[in-house]
Amino acid sequence: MVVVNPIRMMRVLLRALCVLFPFLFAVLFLSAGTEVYVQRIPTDDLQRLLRFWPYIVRNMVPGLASMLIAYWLAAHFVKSLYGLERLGEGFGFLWRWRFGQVGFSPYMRIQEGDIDKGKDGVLSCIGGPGMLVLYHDSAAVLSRAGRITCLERSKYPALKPFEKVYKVIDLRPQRKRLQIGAMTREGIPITCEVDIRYQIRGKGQKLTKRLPFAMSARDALTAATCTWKCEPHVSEDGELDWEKLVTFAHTMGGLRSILARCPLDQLIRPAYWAGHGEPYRQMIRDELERELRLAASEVGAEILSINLGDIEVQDAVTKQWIDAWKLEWERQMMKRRAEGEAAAIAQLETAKAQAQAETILALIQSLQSLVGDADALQSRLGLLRIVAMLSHMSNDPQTQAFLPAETLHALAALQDPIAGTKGQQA
Amino acid sequence: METTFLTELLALSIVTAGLATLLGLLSHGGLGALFLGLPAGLACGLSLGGFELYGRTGLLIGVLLAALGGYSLGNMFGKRRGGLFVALLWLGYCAACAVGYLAADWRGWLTITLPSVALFWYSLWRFSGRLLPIERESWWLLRDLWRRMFDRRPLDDDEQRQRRQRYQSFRSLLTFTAGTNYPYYVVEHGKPQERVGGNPFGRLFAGPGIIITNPHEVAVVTDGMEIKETSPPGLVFTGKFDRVDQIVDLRTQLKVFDVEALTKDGIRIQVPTFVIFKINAASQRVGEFWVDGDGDEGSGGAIFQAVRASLVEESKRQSWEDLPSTVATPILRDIISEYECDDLCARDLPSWHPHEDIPFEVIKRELASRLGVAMAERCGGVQIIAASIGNLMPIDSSVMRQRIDNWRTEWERMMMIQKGEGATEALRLISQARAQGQAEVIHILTQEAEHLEDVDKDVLADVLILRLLEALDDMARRPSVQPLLSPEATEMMERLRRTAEESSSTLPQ
Repeated sequence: MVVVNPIRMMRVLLRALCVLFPFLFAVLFLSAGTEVYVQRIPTDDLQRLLRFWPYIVRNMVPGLASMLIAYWLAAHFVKSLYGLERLGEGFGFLWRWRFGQVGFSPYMRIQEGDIDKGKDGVLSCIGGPGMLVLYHDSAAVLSRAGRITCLERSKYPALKPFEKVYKVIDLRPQRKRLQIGAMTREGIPITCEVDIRYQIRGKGQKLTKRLPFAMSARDALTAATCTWKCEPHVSEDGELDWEKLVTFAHTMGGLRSILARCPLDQLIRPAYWAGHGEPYRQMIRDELERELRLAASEVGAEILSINLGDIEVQDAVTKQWIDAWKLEWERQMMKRRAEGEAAAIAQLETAKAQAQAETILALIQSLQSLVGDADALQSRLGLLRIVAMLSHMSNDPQTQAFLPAETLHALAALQDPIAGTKGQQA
Repeated sequence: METTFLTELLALSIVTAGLATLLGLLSHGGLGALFLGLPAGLACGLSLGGFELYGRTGLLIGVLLAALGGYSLGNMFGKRRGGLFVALLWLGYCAACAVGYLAADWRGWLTITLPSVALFWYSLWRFSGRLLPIERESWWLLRDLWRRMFDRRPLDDDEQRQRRQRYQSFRSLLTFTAGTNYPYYVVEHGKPQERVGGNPFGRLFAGPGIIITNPHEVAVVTDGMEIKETSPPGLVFTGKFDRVDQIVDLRTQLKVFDVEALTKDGIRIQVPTFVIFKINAASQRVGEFWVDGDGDEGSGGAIFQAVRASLVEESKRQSWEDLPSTVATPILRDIISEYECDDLCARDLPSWHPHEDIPFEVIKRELASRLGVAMAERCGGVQIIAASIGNLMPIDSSVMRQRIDNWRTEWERMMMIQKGEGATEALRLISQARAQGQAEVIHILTQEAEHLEDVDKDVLADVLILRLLEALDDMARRPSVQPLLSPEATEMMERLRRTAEESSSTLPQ
């Protein structure tokens, strides 16, 4: 339904009258003049002319038809060249341009950083005259005849003839999560998740209810025209606009470059390296943020925040990492178990008793040969054997560690008198 | 009456043919006069002949036959559209003449027909100014007349361009209507889409072609003999024989391609390579893609150089956009061939090694530098902004596996050391406990001996051995030790003690 604005309509009609009146008057004048001549109507009785109005109209037909045919031909040209669906759109375009818009249509609605309505209409094919409805979250860059004309942010800007929407900019803060494939210092492939928030730069801009998102005109214009062309395998639509440049090109390139300097172990086991200088994740994040802020300013954007997510590795690496992680626990388990076992042995004196039993057995075995010979046992030989055995055992460094110094001295002192008695007997 | 009508018809025919001849003369000179005047004369003659033979019915038949002839002629030159236009133009003119004549004989032709014809062409002229995005000069006809009469100052370039565009616009409408236009293109997504077909080889009353581009696109037009002067983005009129050679994108471009290269040690690797470039131009303002100017400073000169440097590969012409990748590929291969596969990553470099010197960064830097120089030598019209590489991936997956294995080896070594540490710890603790046990035995026995310092030396040995045996006996009776000793050992202990007691009792007191 076409909504007609009465004031605009009056304006359009007035303009149409001003433009067409001279021609219509000329045609009417000539037609009527011809009839005055043919019917020989005296100039003082021109009222008689009214009786001949059908002839006057007939005479006007060629003139009016010639104008209408020209109009039709021009509309047909417009329809063919700009690929319009209907001839009426061509008529409408020519009419609007010459006389202005009767209503609000045609219009294009822009919100959420995209053309919401009228994307395939006449405004998109030819351009203005027409209207734009710009929501507070978007800005539009306009072009005409191959030149960027202006940046629009007002509510209802009017499009001039052939003026088109070149690019729509979303002014809202954006967030993107990316999985970026990279290689570590060792050349092992990894993927890293990056969470990034950004928006069009607009520092120092005054915010109002109508314009709640900051934006500087220069930065928005930069963002609109900084688009890179690329191949479809890089981006489906064959373009990298400011958002893709920030998220895809700069973030990916920057992070890859940073990760290529980091060893895998430091990336996947940051806790292990804690205390060995600055944490790697923090270092990567800071460096990436620094680089991105610089790159984003070149496309008219600013980085609000960056966060690094999980770093993932191939299955083989993950398995090895888990093995290594398990190993640490296994080592601790073994140690504890050994401690526990040793403690148990110590507590129950099993080991000690065993050692003692072994010692006693050794002593008994050393004395066993003397049991049959009472004289031999009387001699100090037996005693010497015991003492020698004790000395031998005390020479073991591990045993020595547990013997008090007095015991060792006593053992030495004990050996001497026994040896001396033996010498006297000999 | 009929004679008068015939005379008037003859006069009208002569005037009509004369007007057509004049129109042809103005638009295409002598040839145009011939090609418009002759058919108009023939059509008038046919109508006149019909009237001569069969009166007014004959006139009508003659007019219709002329319309049919006009349709055939128009169809021959400008398709069906042209045929219809010529036929309807003729019929419309005849109808206007009829109305005029009916109104007031030959005077009606002057007051009704002639103004209608003039109004038709004027309307076409006025409408043609609003069909294309051209800059319009208001009241230019009056201003031009003024200039011609009173001001002899020559037109500047802008004014000349505006005039040319305005004239081409009118001509476009006429030739489109007559079907003799050259092709019309609108560039969408970097490709020219033909909106209105046309024959670029047409000569008579053939109109200009049209190319409409976006602000970041430029159409390079050639007639096969030469590359035409490159026009700024927006609207381009094409002439005879002209065709779109290619559409040049003025935006920064990213080319991503894989390069396969051999390392110094003969391992084939694949490198995703990125080259960022654009048509070279002097400083551009924000929001501006095209830079006016001649030579190297303007976009036109750079485009010409870029187009000229396009290569032909296996009889197929490559786009200028393929040039950076073509140049970069051998450069990157050369750079990578200077490295061994293991050197491509910084595995063995210490962590304090400067970032800039790790191989990945060095290769990137060198590629950008060498590519910039090479492109400047080969084609100054293309500016290299940056060049970079992605992951250096060996094509043979075993190399990647080997890298992972190498990394795992280090971990396995650490694992073995840790395992050994655990086992050693356990062994150490057990040995420690055993040593502690032994030490305790020695300590007890030594303490027993120490208590006998004041005993007579002669009986010392006997007493000592008895005390030692008793101490051993005590220890052997400990609940923790006893189960570990065999019965034979206990019995032997008992026997030793008894033997010692017996022998000591025989000693003199």
